[in-house]
Parts: sequence; structure tokens; C-alpha cells
Amino acid sequence: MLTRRAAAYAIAAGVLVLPVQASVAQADDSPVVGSEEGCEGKGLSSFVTTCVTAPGAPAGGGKSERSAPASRHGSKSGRPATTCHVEKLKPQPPADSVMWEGHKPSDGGAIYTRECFTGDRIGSVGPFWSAKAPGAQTVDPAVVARQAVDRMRLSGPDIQSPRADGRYVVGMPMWLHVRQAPTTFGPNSASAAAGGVQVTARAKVVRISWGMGDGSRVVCDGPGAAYRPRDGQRPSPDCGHVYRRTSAGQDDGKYTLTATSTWQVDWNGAGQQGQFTETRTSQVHVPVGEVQALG
Amino acid sequence: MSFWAEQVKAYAKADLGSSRLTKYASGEALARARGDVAAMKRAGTVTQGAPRHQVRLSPVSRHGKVQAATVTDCLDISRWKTVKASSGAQVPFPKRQPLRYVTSVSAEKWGERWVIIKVTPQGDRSC
Repeated sequence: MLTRRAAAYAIAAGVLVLPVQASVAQADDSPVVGSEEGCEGKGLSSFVTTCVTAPGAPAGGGKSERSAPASRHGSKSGRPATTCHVEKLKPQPPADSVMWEGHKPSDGGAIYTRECFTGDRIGSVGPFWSAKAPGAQTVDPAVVARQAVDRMRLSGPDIQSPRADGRYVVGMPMWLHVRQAPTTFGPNSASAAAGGVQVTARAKVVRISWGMGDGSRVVCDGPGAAYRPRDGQRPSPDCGHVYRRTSAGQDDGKYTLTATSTWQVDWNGAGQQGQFTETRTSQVHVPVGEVQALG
Repeated sequence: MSFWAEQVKAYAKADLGSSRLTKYASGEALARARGDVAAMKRAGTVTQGAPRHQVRLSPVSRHGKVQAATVTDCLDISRWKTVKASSGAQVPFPKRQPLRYVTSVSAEKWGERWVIIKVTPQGDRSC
């Protein structure tokens, strides 16, 4: 059977043969683990997974750059520069290889490999099909994916409840609810192309985190149920809060609610795929008072 | 020889040319190795030792005329160290780095030879 020392899987003609040689010298001392997380400039491979820049990983937030077919993206937005290296694959895969992604060698195109770096760290890698030879350097599809997301013009949650003109009372359940529009909740999708790299991105809100202004935070997986009059004094079934103090001592006598949506973005294109998240924020100022007997 | 043996050789010199990796790797797997080697060369690092494996094969399938197979590996990188090429000083693993984790490997049979086309380290899946 296989042992942990078995060093490699050689896949020989006809049959998959496991495992084979273990001739590489091994040091006997135990692994050295660093005391800090820093990966920059250390020259660790992508098998040191904590140092891999995931394709499309946020590296500074903000907007993607729109500079088109550049091989190097500046870091005006605070994002480290991305460079990619492209080579035609030699030999080309046989016609039925998954790498052709439905294309045929007879169509005239070819399979290329691309590896991208964010700063000195490896980012996205992968093969892709192209009808004609791309430049030796090309655009990182993860960067194009961010351009696609920019086109969606995503904004913060469209807060329906609570409302700035509502009347809210200490001890009474407050329902938290947002409207579901493509730009405020999703799903949304958009494509972008740069330097021969076309990417389609799909985005949806997976979570809304509500800072209630009284020091508490409520995290909801969905838009939150909408309150109807017949719900009376029931708490929201999935996204709500109860204030224990009035907002009298707050600025303007109101609580500042901050709703932050987390957008999950899945993208694919140029034979690669990836995922990243972005956040958007909205605020509403809400007065919360004492119970008063109403005449 | 095999894919991993050649990849270990390439990483040990931070040079693809000192291995026969292009014979056994293509597509994503080759791009990953080329990217790693380029990043290591820039940083002046090489690897020492080798990873260890516990592999599980899935049945061979067929896409048209091409046979395909996947291997699930519990990759152990604890004895595959990164050192500065100039001084030999070890570059430590980051504190939170899992040293044994699942790595999926896809292969296709091109003619008489199995070629590794994709290697996916899944650092969030310890094993």
C-alpha cells in the first residue's frame, strides 16, 4: 500500500502506477514555522497556500482600474501591480483534451498558458484558448473580473426598514429589511474584456451586517422579512433588533445604523475562474424613543 | 520519473530547465510550476527536500479519445523547505500554514504518456 514516504505518482503508459521513487534528500529536522504571517518577498511557492494571492483576492479594495490592455496595472488604487506571462503550450493538447474547452485544433486557434503575479506572489494561473497569438504578456483575468464588477455599479443596501421617518420605541422589536434590486442585492452579472481576455462576473449579496448604533451588531444572511401590520409586536423571524436605550443621547438624537452588504463575486473567463468578495455600505438615522401612551 | 520528482527538481534550482517537467506537466500544472519558479528566482529562493504524498485514485474516465484521471493527494509539505539560495537560510513557513492538506491532481493520457494538467492545492482542507 501507499506510504507517506512514497514520493511521487508516476503515471505510466496505460495504467496509473503509484507510487514510485523517493530519491530526494530529506532533512530530518522538523519544519520551521515562522512567527509572523508575512509572505511578501519571501519567494515561497504556491504550495505554501497561505502565501498565495487568490485570483481576484482583494488587495486594497476600492475600484478596479479601467486601463485596458496593459500588461502592468499601476497601483493607484492601492492594489499591487499585476503582471502576467503567456506562453503557447508545447506540445498542444490532443483534440479531446478538456483544455480545448469545446474548441477544435482544426479551428486554427491554440492553447496558451498564463501565470499572473500580484507583486512578487503568484496569483491566477491557467491554460486558455485563443484564436490568435496573444502578446507575451497579457491581462490578468482576475483584474478584468473587477472591471466587470465596476460595470454593475453595485451600491449599498436599499434599507426599507427601519426608516428615517419612522417611529421606534425602546423594547419593541425592530425589523431590518432591504429591497432586493440588482444593484443593491443582486443577482447581477456583467462582462468585461481587456487585452483579448473576456470575463463574466456574477455577483450577489450573501450577508448584510447591521451596526445598530447602540454598540450591537446584527448579521443577516438575507434581505430580512418585510414587516406587515398584522405582524403586530412580533420580532422579525430572521433579521431584527430590540433597542434597550433611547437615542436621546446620540448625535441629532438618532441612532446611526450602518448596513454593510457583502457581495460574493464568481467570475470565469479565459479558461479560468475565481471568486472574491466586495462590500458596500448604507446608513440610516433613526430616532428611538420611550413608550408613550397615545391618546 | 514522474511529475512530482521533476517538479521538485525544478523548484530545487528555481529553474524549469533543470528538470524534465514539461514532459509530464501541461496546462495549469505547468503554468503553476513556471510561475512558482519565476517568483522564487526573483526572491532568490530554492526548495530543499520533497513533499510526501498519500494518494487516492479515482477511476479513469474518457473524454472522446482522451483518458482522464484524478488523484486526491494528502500532500505533506513539512519536509519541503524553502531556503535562500545564497545563504541556505530557511524561509520559515507562515505560522498558520497547514503542513498537510488535500491537493487534487488531474491527468490526461496524451498518446502513451499520462500528463498532469492541473494541480489544485487546497490549503483549507487539512488531512
